[in-house]
Amino acid sequence: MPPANADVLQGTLDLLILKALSVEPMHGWGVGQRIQQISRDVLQVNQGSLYPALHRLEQRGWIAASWGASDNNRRAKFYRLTATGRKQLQAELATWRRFSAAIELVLAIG
Amino acid sequence: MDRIRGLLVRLRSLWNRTASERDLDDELRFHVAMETEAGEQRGLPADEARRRALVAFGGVERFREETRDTHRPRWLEEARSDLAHGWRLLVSRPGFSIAVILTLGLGIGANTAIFSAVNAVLLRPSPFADPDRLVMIWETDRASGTHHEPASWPDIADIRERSRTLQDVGAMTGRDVTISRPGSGDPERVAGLAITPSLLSVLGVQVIAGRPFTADEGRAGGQRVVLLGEEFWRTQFAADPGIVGRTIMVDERPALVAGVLPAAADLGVRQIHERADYSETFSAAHVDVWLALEPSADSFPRETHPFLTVGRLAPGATVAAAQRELAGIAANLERAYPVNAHRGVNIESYGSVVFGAVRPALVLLFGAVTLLLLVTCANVANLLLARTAARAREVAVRVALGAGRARIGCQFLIESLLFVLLGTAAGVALAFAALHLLITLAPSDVPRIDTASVDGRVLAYSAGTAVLIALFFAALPTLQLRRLDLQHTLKSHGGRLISLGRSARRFQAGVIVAEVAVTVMLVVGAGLLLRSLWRLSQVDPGFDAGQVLEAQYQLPATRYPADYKHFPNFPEIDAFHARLLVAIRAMPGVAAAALAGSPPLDPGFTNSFTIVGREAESAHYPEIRTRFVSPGYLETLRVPLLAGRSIGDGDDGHSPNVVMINGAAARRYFPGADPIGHSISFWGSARRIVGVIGDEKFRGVAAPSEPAAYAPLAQAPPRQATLLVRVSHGDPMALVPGIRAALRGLDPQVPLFDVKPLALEVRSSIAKPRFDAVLLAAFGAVAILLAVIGVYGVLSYTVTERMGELGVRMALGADRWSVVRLVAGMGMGLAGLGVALGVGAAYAGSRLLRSMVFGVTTTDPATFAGVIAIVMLTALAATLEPALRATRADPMQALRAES
Repeated sequence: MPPANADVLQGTLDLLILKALSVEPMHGWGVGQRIQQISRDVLQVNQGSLYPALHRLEQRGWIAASWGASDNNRRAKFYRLTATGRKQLQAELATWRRFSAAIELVLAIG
Repeated sequence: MDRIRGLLVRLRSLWNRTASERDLDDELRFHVAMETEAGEQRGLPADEARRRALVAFGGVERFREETRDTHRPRWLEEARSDLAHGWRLLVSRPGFSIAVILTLGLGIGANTAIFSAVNAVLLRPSPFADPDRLVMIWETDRASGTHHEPASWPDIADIRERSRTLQDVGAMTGRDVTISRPGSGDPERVAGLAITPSLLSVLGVQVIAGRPFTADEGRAGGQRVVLLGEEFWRTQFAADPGIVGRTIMVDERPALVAGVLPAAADLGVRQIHERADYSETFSAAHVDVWLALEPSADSFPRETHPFLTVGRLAPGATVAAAQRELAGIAANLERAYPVNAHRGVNIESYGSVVFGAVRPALVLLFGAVTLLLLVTCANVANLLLARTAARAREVAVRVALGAGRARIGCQFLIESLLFVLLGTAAGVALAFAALHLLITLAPSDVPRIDTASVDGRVLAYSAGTAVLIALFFAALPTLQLRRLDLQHTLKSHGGRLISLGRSARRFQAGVIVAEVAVTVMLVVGAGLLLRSLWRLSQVDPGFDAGQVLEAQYQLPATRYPADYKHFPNFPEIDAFHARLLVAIRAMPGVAAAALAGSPPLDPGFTNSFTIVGREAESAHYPEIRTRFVSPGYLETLRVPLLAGRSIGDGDDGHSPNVVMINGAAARRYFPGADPIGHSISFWGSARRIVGVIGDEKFRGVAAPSEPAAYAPLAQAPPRQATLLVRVSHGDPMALVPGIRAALRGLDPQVPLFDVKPLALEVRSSIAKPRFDAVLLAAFGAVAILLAVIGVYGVLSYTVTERMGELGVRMALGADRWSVVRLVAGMGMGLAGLGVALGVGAAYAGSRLLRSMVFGVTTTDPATFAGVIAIVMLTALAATLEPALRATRADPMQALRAES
């Protein structure tokens, strides 16, 4: 296991899921893997939070689910971004950027 | 869209719990499998990889719980559990539940059915544009004191031209016609309505196929044009739009079908004809054929009054303004034309003419059925109240465990909703069944009653009622348990009933008193209507309808001309009537047969008349009811001949004019004198009075007999006649095939219609009061039953609850009789108070029935006494079982339990 890893920050998981799904539809396991890979194993998604988050997003109508076959031909539940979800992603991205820029600013000056 | 999809996911998880749970399991299994595979790829042994995958995942149950939480909000979860709890309670005491649901179903069902009728008749939108602007224009005659006479054509034309308060005026008159279709059996007599083309635009109705009449259609000599009624179009022409533009045979002459009018377009036609002092008769449910009428002053002179006139108020004008203006116009016409002497106008709103007669009855029935619903609710409230007492312990436990007031209230609400919803479902099902019966039973002259149905508005009404009832029921136990004593309730013995609080007990007694009071009001109403129905059925119509058959026929004008230059000698018409009578009288089983110009009990028409030699005095007499009858009329109907002779075969168009008058006319116009030998004059010639006969009823059995004159049919032969046949024994209807054959033998193109036993005509003349009385009696009977159950339930509960106390009393030496008196006295006290209140309310309220009773006063002492006796006796019967049970209280057991 890499030495420096972190649990995903509270509140950012939704953003990460939406971002991951904006590329292509994926099943839950794939979403976790994708976030982990792209962050070079810095961000580890706890499965116990991943699935409740996926179901929450589905109920809000930001993502939609359907059953399909995975690469190795198993029955898997695939999630994809809906039009509303895409808008939401933009909004959350903007919020995040403002937020992280603000943090940077405080840290730089402090 | 996406939001809705999310909601669907949530709903699915709520209702289809196992399916969504299975989805979740599948998803987790997939995750673990993928994780295991990844571990194996990193070189771990298979079982180690799987173990790590599971460990990494954490507890599956915790995960499930968290995911599930995202699916269901807390309140939904609670509602679900309350619902399940409520359902278990409902099923655990099926007897109680069925009693509650059926009682509610009865109340709500009766209410829904009557509301459906009210909705169809009074509440549905009018088929006419701006119906509030429509008025009826009647002529009045100060000489005869009439206020609802049809108008003459020249008067209508003058009013139409001069009036500023009326935008336009249209006229109508019923005119039955014969439709013959070559090669399709007997010709058919159908309900026709002749209208001015302007009537359609005055009413604001649109055709559903083809086109309406044009302004110049229907003029004498022009092409004959008709519109078909929707009903007739559907049944006779299979709703074929291709009929428009084709020609059909109307009264044996071709007529062009221009279009089709919707069924609703004839709303009020029948009621308007019935409101008129006299008119052509129109008694069909719908207009089959609409004929164009464009009369001229020549064909309809100012002295004849055949037209029912409808006007549309000009913008801004009121009924009162129209009345003032038209009264002025009528006064001018009176000055200009001698035949208009004493004539005025009477403007009424269209709605009051069409719905005026039926509204009070419907409002009464709706009021009664609402009272019945109140009785139902009172009963159910008492049942629930008793049950809540039994559940006080359950509630106490829940409160002790921390359930809030709102939480408990919410549970009661859901439970009562469950009861009320099931009750409402039962009620609506009942309403569907009852509505059919209601429509069949209803008198046919109630406008639009045949369109009554359980529609959206009715369902919304029932649902609204149900919610109100549910809220009421939910409020009861919540209030009742407000001051629940936790300590006491939790400590009390397990098997014992927990007593109702003082306030709940008082409430329960109040409910019983109110229930009995309302029942008394209902039963008094039913009693009054039943007694007046009995009086009505006992009225002698003046003739004997038993074993008499009546039928009508119509001779076509083409082959049976009436040339008024030779009045009353119409040889073809006369010969047909005479030959038909000969043929009928020759049939086996016929005791007597006769013809009449109008059927018995049909108001027919009236004429102005004078007594020869007393002209000045008789100019101010009201018009006299005029009948035309053939020889044999008195024998066939068994109307007594009081003096002189009856009309004979010799009284025909070539012999001197003669007439019979009835007793009412003799008493009124020849008091203390013998009318025989005097002459009266109408239709331009004097007629010698040869006989005086008994009084027949003309305008229903409730109205007193009016003066009437009977002229020989042969001295004014009508094309439409009523055949009356008395059989010597058996069913008169058995003769119908023979009569049809006889008619066909004389002329195959003459239709026979309105064939029925005369007794049926008499019965249907009191259909309306019978309908009201039967319904109210049914409501009253149900209310009594419910009141009995209510009194019984409360007493029974009280006795069970006070068994201990009663036992102690008996142990201390009270005898059985005093115990019976105690319990019965309690029940009779409540019932007596209820009866007293109910009698008071009924005494004050029964005057609302004044227009609906006949032969009894609305404060009829016998009815009130009977109702008091019935209700008190049934209440007494309800107290018997609990009272007797009380005497079986075992003193020993009571003492042991108290120790």
